[in-house]
Amino acid sequence: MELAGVTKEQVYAALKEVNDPELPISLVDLGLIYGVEVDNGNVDITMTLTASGCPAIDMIKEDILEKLAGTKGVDSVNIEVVWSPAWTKEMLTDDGVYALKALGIAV
Amino acid sequence: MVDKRKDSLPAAVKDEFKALLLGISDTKLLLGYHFGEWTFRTPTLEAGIATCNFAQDELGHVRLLHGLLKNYSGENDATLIHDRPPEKYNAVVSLNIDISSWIELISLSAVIDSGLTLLLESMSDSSFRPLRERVEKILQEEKFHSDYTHAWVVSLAADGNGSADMVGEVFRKAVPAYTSWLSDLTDSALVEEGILNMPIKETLAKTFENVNSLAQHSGLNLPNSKEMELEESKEYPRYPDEAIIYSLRGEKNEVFRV
Repeated sequence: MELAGVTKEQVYAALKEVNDPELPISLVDLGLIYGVEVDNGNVDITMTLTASGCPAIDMIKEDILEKLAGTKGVDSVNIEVVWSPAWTKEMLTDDGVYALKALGIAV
Repeated sequence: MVDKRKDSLPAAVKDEFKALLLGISDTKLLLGYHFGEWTFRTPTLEAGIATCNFAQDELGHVRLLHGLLKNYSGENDATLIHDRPPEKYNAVVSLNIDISSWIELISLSAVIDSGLTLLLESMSDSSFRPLRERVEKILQEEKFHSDYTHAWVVSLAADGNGSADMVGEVFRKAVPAYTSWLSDLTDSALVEEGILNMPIKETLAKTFENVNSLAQHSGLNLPNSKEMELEESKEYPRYPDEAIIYSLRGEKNEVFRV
């Protein structure tokens, strides 16, 4: 029997495929995703941005919504942008650090 | 011990909160405008990049502060931006007109932007969570502004081509303007509720301390803080220039708004 809804792991896997609009690195590896909660098909995402004046905020939200709309079991997505704790490069994953170094960006 | 930290804004502080946040966000809006305007008129490409980055930061901070005004003071984009007449703005008056040189911009920033940072630091342990969290992000970004502008002030003051006189002249006008702006804000309810962790008067004293320290370090000759506090800022218009407001509203490109 197939369970309804989506799991947290499936949501993270989907988000791992959503890149920052300015860098070929996923939002997860940039450390922008602070939390994911799922309740059957309803997904709540808490995330931050590297800069308060990030001009790509709407684009990032749209990319997340588009990706999750195509993810099996997702009925609704709520995205909350928070500013605390403020993002620092320590929040990059190991993959994120590797990817940035490969791009020639010192981290 | 009772944790007095709160997610809602006490009714007693609403007027002071609105005036304070509007004053800070208006000043940041105009700082952002001027940084943006000077992006392609800097002495070096790197300085242009820094100016562009500062403009983006300041406008980001305006976005964060406007969010609080929308959520807790009943404001909206119309009242904050599109329909607000110039006389409803409350920025530090030095920013109400065009800035005549890049040196003036850097010197103004060293006084005003750094002053705002001290004011924001007095909210970094605010009892009001939404404010405290946004201030954390703003202060993270502001640190670079202070470091950068202070370093430039020291370099410019050491320059033998009249730059030191220009920096000193801006300081002598900007400090009274900032003092007057800050002194007009009221804080008793905000301090009482722990929204502000330090009375504005103490923040002002710290501002003088910082400006004097920077001036001394740079070899600039400034009047003492008491003289500057008492000086009136008559040289600037009370409200922003209409042409600047027109740009801030983004009306020229309204058709592209989504």
